[in-house]
Amino acid sequence: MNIARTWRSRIRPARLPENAALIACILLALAAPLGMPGRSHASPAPVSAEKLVHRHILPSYRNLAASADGMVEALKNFCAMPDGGTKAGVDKSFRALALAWARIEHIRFGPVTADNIYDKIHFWPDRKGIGRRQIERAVKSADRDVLDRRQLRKKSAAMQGIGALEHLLYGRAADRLAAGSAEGSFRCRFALAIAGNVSAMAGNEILPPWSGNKGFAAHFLHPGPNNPVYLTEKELFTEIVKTYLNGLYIVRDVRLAGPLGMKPGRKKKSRAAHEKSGLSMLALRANIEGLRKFFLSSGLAAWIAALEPGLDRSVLAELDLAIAHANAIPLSLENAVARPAFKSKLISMGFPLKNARDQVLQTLTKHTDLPLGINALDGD
Amino acid sequence: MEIDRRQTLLGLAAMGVSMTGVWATSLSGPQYFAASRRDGPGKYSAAIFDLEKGELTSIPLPARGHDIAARPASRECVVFARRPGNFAVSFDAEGRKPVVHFSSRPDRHFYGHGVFSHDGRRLFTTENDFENGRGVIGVRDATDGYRWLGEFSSGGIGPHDIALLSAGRVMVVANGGIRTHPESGRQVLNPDSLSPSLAYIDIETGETLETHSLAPALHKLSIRHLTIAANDMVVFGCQHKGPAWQRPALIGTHRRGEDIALIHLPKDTTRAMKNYVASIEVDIDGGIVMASAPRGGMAVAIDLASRRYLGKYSLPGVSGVAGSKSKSSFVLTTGNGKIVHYDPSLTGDRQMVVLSNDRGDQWDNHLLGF
Repeated sequence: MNIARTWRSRIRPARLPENAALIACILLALAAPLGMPGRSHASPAPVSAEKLVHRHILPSYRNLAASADGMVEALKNFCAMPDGGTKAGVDKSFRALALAWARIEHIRFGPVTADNIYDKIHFWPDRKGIGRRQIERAVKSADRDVLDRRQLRKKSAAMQGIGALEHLLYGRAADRLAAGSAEGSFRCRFALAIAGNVSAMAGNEILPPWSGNKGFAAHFLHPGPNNPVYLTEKELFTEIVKTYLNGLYIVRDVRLAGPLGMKPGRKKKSRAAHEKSGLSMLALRANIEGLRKFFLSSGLAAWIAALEPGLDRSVLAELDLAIAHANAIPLSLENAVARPAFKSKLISMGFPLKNARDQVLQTLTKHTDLPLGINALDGD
Repeated sequence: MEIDRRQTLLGLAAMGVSMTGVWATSLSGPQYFAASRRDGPGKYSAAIFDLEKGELTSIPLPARGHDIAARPASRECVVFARRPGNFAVSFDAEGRKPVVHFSSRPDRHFYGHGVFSHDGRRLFTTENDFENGRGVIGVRDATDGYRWLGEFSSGGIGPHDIALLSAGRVMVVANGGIRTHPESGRQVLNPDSLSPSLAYIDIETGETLETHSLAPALHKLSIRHLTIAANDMVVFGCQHKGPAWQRPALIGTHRRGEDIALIHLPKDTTRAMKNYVASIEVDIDGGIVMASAPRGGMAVAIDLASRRYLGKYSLPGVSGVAGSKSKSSFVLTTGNGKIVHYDPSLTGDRQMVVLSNDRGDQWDNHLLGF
């Protein structure tokens, strides 16, 4: 065969099929698509979207909204009296807010996907310091738009969420917040606008669609042919399983491996989320705790147990081991990486996280026909 | 059931399908097929197979591969690392030439796709200048161990698939519009400013001749893969990065000097595709396009001349697509081990023939016919 000619299989000759009979043939063939023989679900799959919504998603988003409200109040007090011992309230509120998001940030479907809300709540990673530069530019130019949460919402995702707030509260220029100067006042009101923005997104744009019967919750709870998101229960199950698998992937391969400098092909360490506030290790633990709760409340644990008795306990033991490792590290993530004794604990955390993911993936791949292949999960 | 690959590829006869029947309407077409895969034990490799003889050769890969480019006037292929990987490996379909490993530069990574110049002397690869958030096309000398010769702009951010128009002078690049950095894996770094485009570039000068973007409302519709159909029509497949309840058209066409035109499939079909097209290829005539939607477990066929939707074909995990040897026929691969020959012009069991069903093999996103 002439390979030069076959190369043209990608560079097609100028010839269009005009064979009506062939087209008719294709139409006929595709009108009754031939499904491939596949395995059926272990029936019925004990996954419960309703329990997931009511036991995990709604309470976690309510906690996020309440934490953001608390942040607003703490900042109001602090901005009114920066010298009055009000910083402790800010610190406490920021910790609550950052950890509230860490416990639910594995949910990457639903209202958070509208208008980039997910990224606007926490723009991470921001390896180029885009948020920091945009914030400092706004402060320098006294851009009053950033003091109004509605105007702020229209700006870059990097300068309007928890990461931006963290920069103002704990970044290099954080001491200017309480300086009593015009700049300090501006920074404080900017922080207040960010907190208000997060509060509005959580309370007005995420919670209502999850709470009512007409919003996203209706799509999530009632798959069917007229559902614009989930046509079948299988699609819903796939969303739930992928959320768990992707969540553990992000925790282990990005959040943990990045600061450890253990990402494949990348020796350079990347910055940990929430390192500026010293909350990086706690946030990582909260990520795992959130996924543990997701595993249980979604019915994924019960499903795994139904397919392979006892495997749910094994997966939970792995997640608990990872949490125990996190509890044994009293430092921020980057500080722990710098100390050999703690670094080895961090490396140890990776194994149970991998096991907790692989056990679920392998079991569901073996027993179900959910699209969990390498392309369906993340092709490119 | 574990089935030997070579045997199952010969299994057409066992399934009551005569090879002459399969190729009855054969014009000409690819002799070989090549794809990346992950095998049962989790090892990555790239394989070349023949529809009659089965697997001819495979080479181990250091990590997950993506697409493969065939070098004209040779039986040589180059497999590229999946983004954000750095490796590429050249290997020969018949094992006659030594395997050559080469890498992206330290401050670049591959996007998993490449194309050779028509004379086979140069290889063009889509790459990420990640520190500057800039898409580039790397140029290498295929006659000299893939020595790096230079690079030029891809005309956008996040270049992905790439192809040459028929005269061989102009390439078209699918700029996905998504900024990423290897430190943060595959995470989108510009969520509020995605800017997908098609760029036409003169391969001799590196000059961007034309760029075409989708309407601003579709800025989350990332153009990823493309193929060249009859009359140099560029046919592209997209992945939507917006909310799941938005279901934009995922396939479009373009010719130089014209506007981009999306192909609107029936609403139910678009919805079932789950906002994600993996591979898109045309048949041997360049008139029928097939696009895989692995998240929906289906592939769709379209007649390009009439822009008529021909239908969908359900196949769980389907991903790789390549035109086969006869009009309107395709070879499809899946992430759960199947290689399927699909020819709607045949009838009964011969229409869809499972050539291989080795569950250990997870075939990756793309399939090359050459």
